[in-house]
Amino acid sequence: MTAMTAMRRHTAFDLRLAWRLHRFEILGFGVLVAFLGAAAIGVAGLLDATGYGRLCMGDAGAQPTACEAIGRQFYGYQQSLVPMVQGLLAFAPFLLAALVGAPLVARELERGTSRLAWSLAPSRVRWFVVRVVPAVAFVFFLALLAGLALDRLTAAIEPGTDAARSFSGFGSRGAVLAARAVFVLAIGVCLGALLGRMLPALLLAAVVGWIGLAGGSYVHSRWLATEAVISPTETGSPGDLFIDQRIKDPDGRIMTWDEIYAQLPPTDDGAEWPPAGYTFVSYVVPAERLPFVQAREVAALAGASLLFLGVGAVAVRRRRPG
Amino acid sequence: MTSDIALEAHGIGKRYRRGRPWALRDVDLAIPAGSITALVGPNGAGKSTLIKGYVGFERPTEGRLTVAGVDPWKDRGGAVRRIGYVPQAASLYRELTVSDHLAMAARWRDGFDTRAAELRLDQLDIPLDARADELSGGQQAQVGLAIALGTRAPVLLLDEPLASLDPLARREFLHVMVDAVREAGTTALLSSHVITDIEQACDRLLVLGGGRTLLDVSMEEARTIHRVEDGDGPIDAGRLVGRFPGQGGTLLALVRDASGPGRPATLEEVVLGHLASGRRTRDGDPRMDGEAAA
Repeated sequence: MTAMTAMRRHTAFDLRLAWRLHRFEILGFGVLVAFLGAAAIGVAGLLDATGYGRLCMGDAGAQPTACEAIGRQFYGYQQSLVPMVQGLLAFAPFLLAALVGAPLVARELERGTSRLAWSLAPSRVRWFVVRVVPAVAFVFFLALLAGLALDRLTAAIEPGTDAARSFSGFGSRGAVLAARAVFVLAIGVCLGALLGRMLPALLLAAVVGWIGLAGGSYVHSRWLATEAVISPTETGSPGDLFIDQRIKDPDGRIMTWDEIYAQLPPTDDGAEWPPAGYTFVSYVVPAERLPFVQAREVAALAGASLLFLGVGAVAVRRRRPG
Repeated sequence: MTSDIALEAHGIGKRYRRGRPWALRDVDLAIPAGSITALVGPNGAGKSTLIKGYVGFERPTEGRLTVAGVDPWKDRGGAVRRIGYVPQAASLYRELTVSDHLAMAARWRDGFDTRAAELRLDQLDIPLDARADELSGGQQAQVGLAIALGTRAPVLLLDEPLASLDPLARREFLHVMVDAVREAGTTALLSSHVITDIEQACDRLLVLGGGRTLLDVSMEEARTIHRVEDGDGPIDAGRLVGRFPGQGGTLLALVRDASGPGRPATLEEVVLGHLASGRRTRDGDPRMDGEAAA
């Protein structure tokens, strides 16, 4: 048997084993994400079907009275269907990641199956890799499907804006959503290997995952602020990531609100403020930067995920088998 | 290591936490290749700790272990390749079938003999397509044994596999194990509480008590060098091994003597006498003998 044949046979077995051990999660979440994804695309279709973007935005030229009814329907969907579908679809990958990640090693330790597995596998790290890789692939795949469905929904929510060049919903859709889900999975795997118990690992993974993602988003947003550029408009162009508003004085100097208040305190006499010659501008990360920013966040999350998985592998290598 | 020694221990000590009692202390062993050794002792004697040390599941606090010359903590993979391990509880995946378990063993162990394992299980009427959670405790233990034997490892470690089995299942398990081990010339170390069962199966006896080796001899020697006498009378301290309560509450004494007064000791009495001696040595109080055996 050649090495390639052996590898193929091993891979086929590893996938079959993953399927047999995680049938419930695979089927349950597969159906859930497929259903919610289909619902998101369906809602996007409803939004498109109103024709609001086509008929009533920009120079479309439709009658204002017609647009009022179309807009009512368009925003009605946005208030009723969109939050539910969007919320569930954005949350499902994290639930999946935690429920697959935390028990992956912890369940083996809790049930004692690790004793059999580790007495057979000459390398525990290889055993760990074989268990983790299909889980990572599965979570990434499902989360990516959810992310792509949310991309489609975002495009429908903001007609006239290219979703692929829009910071709207950044982090809650597309590849970043998938990378964030894998990050939570890695935390769950790591904690499961360290604690050796499913429920505490699951609860702690939810907390640490939330803190990790919130902290990461905060740091990334501070970083993005350093990359912001001045946009001549009040809130930037559609799709830009708005960071802050500034005021430009007649000499072209950019001032913060505090600076302008100190220099020209508003009066109660109803005079125009800021006075003529001063214009509102905005600090934004231009929408064209989105692919780069996305790639950077995905890379950072992948690195952090690898770190957690590495800690999990070390724990598996060193610990008692339950 | 000499090639005729399969399992060695040199001054092994294991303490789970600093300040806690030692689970094993100063244990020296040399188990000959091809032997079937019974590892006997009460709960907490250190039997599982010793076996887990050989599999690389427990790291000794002091001393050194080797499996066929390989130190599990220097080359865990090398040691694991030389071991077939049957854990205390069968440790099977409840979602997987028996076939899946054999496939898993073949996935991890080069040269795993799936055919032989299937044949062995077939002879025991254990369906290969049954899920692990559909099997009885005895059948699960047999699957665990079939996997361990299928590895064709030179050393078989069995960590109290009989503990939860009924007498018939115990007999069947030992029958399969002894036949396979004798046929392949494997070295087996079997820990158990059930002395009557291992008497027929094993050719060496290793008694652990309080984390120390109390006796390490061949079965034959264990029977021939010990006798049992009335425990109430005075006995020369040089001959006395330990006092323990016999059937009906009479106090018996195990003495190290090939001939003389009393009667030949049964294996159970040999073990009880040595466990009592271990307790006496540890506590320094001869009156504790009876309690230790109880």
